[in-house]
Amino acid sequence: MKSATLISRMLMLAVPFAFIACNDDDNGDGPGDQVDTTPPQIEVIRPEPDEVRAIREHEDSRNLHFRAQISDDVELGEAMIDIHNAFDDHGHGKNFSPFHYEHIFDLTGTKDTFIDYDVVIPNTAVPGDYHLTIYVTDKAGNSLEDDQKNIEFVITNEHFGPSFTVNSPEDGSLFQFNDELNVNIEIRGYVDLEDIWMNIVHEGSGEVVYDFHRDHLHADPYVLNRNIFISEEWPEGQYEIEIEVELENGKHYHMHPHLHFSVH
Amino acid sequence: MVANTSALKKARLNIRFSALQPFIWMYGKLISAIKARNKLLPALLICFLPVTMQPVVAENASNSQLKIRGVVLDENLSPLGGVRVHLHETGETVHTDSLGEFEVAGLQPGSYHVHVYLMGYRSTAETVRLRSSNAQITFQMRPTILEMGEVLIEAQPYKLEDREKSLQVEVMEKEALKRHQRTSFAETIERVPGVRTISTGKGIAKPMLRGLSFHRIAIVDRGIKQEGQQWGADHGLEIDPYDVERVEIIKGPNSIVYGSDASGGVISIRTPSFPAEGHIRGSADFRAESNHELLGGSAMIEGNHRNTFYRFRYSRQEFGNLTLPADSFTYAGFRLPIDQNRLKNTGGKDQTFTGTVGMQREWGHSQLTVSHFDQMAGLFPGAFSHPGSYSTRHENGHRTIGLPRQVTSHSKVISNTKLLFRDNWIEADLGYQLNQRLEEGEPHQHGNRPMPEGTDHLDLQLHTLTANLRYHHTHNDRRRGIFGVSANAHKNRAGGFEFLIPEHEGADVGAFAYQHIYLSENLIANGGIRYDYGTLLSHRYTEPDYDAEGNEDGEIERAPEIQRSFSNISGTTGLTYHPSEEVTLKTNIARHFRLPRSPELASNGFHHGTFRHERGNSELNAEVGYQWDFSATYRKSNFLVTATPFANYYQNFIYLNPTFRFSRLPGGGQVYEYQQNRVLMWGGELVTEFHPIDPLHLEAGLDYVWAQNLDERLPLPFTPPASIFAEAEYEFGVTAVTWLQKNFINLNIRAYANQERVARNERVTEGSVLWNTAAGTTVNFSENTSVSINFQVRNLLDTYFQNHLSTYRKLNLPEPGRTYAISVSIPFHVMQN
Repeated sequence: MKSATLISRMLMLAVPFAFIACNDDDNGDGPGDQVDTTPPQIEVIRPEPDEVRAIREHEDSRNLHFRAQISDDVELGEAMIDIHNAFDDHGHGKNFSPFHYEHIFDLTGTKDTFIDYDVVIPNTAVPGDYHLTIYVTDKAGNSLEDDQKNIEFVITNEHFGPSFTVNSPEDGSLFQFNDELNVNIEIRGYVDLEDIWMNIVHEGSGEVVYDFHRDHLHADPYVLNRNIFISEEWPEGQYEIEIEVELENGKHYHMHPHLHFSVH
Repeated sequence: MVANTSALKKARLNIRFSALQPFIWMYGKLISAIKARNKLLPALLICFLPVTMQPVVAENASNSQLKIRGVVLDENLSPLGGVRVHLHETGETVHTDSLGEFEVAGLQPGSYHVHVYLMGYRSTAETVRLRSSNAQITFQMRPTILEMGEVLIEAQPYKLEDREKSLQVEVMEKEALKRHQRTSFAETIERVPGVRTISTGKGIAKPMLRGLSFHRIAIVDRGIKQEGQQWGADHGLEIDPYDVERVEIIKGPNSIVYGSDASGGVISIRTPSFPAEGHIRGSADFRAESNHELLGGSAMIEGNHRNTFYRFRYSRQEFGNLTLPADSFTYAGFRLPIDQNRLKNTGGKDQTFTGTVGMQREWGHSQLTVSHFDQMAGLFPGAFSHPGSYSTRHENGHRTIGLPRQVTSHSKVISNTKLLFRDNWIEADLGYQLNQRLEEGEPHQHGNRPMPEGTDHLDLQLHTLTANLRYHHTHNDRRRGIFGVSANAHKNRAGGFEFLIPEHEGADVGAFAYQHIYLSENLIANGGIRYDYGTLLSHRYTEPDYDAEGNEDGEIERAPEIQRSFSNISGTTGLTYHPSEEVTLKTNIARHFRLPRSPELASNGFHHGTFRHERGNSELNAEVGYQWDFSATYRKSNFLVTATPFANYYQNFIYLNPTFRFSRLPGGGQVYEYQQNRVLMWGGELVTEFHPIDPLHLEAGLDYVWAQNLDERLPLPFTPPASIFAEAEYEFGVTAVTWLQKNFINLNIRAYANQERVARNERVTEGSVLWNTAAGTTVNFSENTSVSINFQVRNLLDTYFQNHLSTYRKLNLPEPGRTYAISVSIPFHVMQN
């Protein structure tokens, strides 16, 4: 778009009417006289993208943790979170009411604030994909760049969404080099599974020491069972097992087994 | 003698009866159309009948049969044949014979404007005063190869040459309108420097003049200001793109004649001229566009039988989803697909019927136009519905218009009459319009409220009655004037399960006087003053509140009752000076005004189209501003350059501004509130035309607008970026082929600068350079049968670009990619003298 910039410059020069330009003190260029047009900033810590919150019918409600750091250069205005379903048909079925939640936070008087807020997901919530949308304004009315920030998360229950049972290893296990690590996880989708990815990540460096991908599964459930040799090339320390699945319907999920082990 | 007269009267009566028949038929249709839903019928009949009947009575009184004779010569005093001579007041058109002579007979004493037109010559006009004897005039026409500034301006207050008007007026005529036709009328006129559109996909477009739109420009169709829901950024203009034969664009305030709303300018769609007596002719037009698979057409038939004329037109077009030069877009951190490069649910269709009947007699002329416009336009769900519902996959092909969508219709009944009164003319324009706007979308349950029934979010009905009366008087050759009154009454009804604007009604009346004085041969002054008074009643609106269990629990007031009245004095004065044939200088200063509308005073709700909560402000005052216009033109036989700078200061400009609040209504988004601020705008256009050789037309234009809220020191939203337009057009004939004499090829480029001057929360838009090309031919099958075929390629290089003035801009969506368009126009004669 260099040419466009050039043209815009040429245009500015060519405009012969600059003699009526009222460039007195109305441009807001004076020192300490800036017009606040900087939108507030937000960093969302939770929920993580594609986070799965599993509810079970007939059990207690689950909390969705909303954690965010919000700041503005002058003064914050309000923040609003809006949770609504992102079902394929946008939930227009008229016979059920997907979970919908809105909450407004008054942030006036602050420049920098941390929001830690738990949203109660009732156990009657219709499972599926949801969006958590965060809107933030500053006192002058500037809103978040792009108006909003969206985080997609998933509410599942036993009838919907992938779930898993970890048979091996146990969380917090200890291993030594040249040991064999058995990973055995049963993964269930509510429709057929298509792809499964598993990564073993070193928590200190973020290095992926082992990755596994299986496609064209057409299975539900699927038992992921791998025997993995812990070579001496692996760095020492804490590891986490991450799992992603893609279902036959094209949906992609980041599972959070919170499964850790150590190698020494 | 007595017997003779009564026989004559009898004969006349018969003619009169047949002349009235179309009117009677039309009223019959009108009655059945309106009966079902409206009680305004009696009022309508009272309004329209006297106007169409009265002239017939006047006819009886006439006994003078005067003539205007004349001769048209070229610069060497040789006679010019085939010159179109138009008598403005009676609407009559004749042509000169091979000796350059013409005659218009059967006239009553009075003053008449005689316009002469011939391709390749500068149009000119003379005022002729007929007293008791016939008049004889001689016109001398000067040749020109320039297209610009060579036309007569018909828009009120005067029918003058361009250089006699102190405000800049741009004209687009039939041929140019056809050559550059787009999906909507507003887009077609975007060609004119200083004109842009605020668009929502294709089909929905509202015109903008020098950065002003919404209620600040008046769209005038056949003398009546079009009234729809102009306050909405996503509300388009309801005009048939095929039915415009001539449009005049007045850049600058015209509050004097048009009252409130004309503060930023006027786009005036002129009544098409009628065929000569004894002719029946018509045309068929077809259009196709590749990008959104548009198919459209229009058929028209018109005739003139003993100076009783009629014209009927039906147009229809349908198009599918837009094709974009991108397969994804980024919004709110998400990269979202554009499935098959097509933007879901952006198709649309519209159709219009227009029928006119009228008569021209020695007392003047009168006509009645009935039109009905229907449109259904799909909206991209991601821009309309809840954010995150970016379901962009196509479900039912590319031509299905699903939800959300706008369904609009606009019905008009317009009567235009010019009556001879003593020596002068009275013009009366009466109009009734009904604008119906239905915004449909999937219902959503919000909070504890019950699930709404149906899909009608908003259902707005606006009825408007307009009457304009102008008395044109000619004191002498040096001084002419107009006295006018205008009145307007409106009523808005609102339905649908969402509340955005309240029901309201109001009326305003205005009176003005305007004078035009020739101070010397080359110095003309004009000035006018106007007083307006308006009242408005905006209804209270409440809705039930619900408790946690979903039971009704009290009520919430969404809009209070507001009763306001406004008055204002506005004025204008200008000078035009042409020291030589080559140079014209104009200047104009005006105080303009605008009455606040009910949506600005009392709206309070979620506006899906702009995705925010819009809230009115009941304290708003009438918007008043001052504008200075200047124009300098240098013109030689093959070269023209015009600079038209302006400066416009508003002491209380009304617009929507963001607040830091979020709507307490479920799903309501950020609250935007109407506020008033001091605003300064300046800018202008620079246009040049050059013909290095006769058939080669080179044109370049530049426009720029600077707009600033002086209180908040921030630019205004929807300020158009500067742009440059340049084109080369070559017209040629194929010498060997007699039926291929009129062909053209055109290459043009439009460059938009970056728009970095943005309002709060508006996005900076990068500039772009677009190439377009066009070619066309007129095939002469016989003397009277010629078919013209035009071919266009827009966005030739399939450039990815964003339009700062598109409501889809906030989603980072690009504008449509390359499109091929073809149009065929087949005029035909059924009968001629």
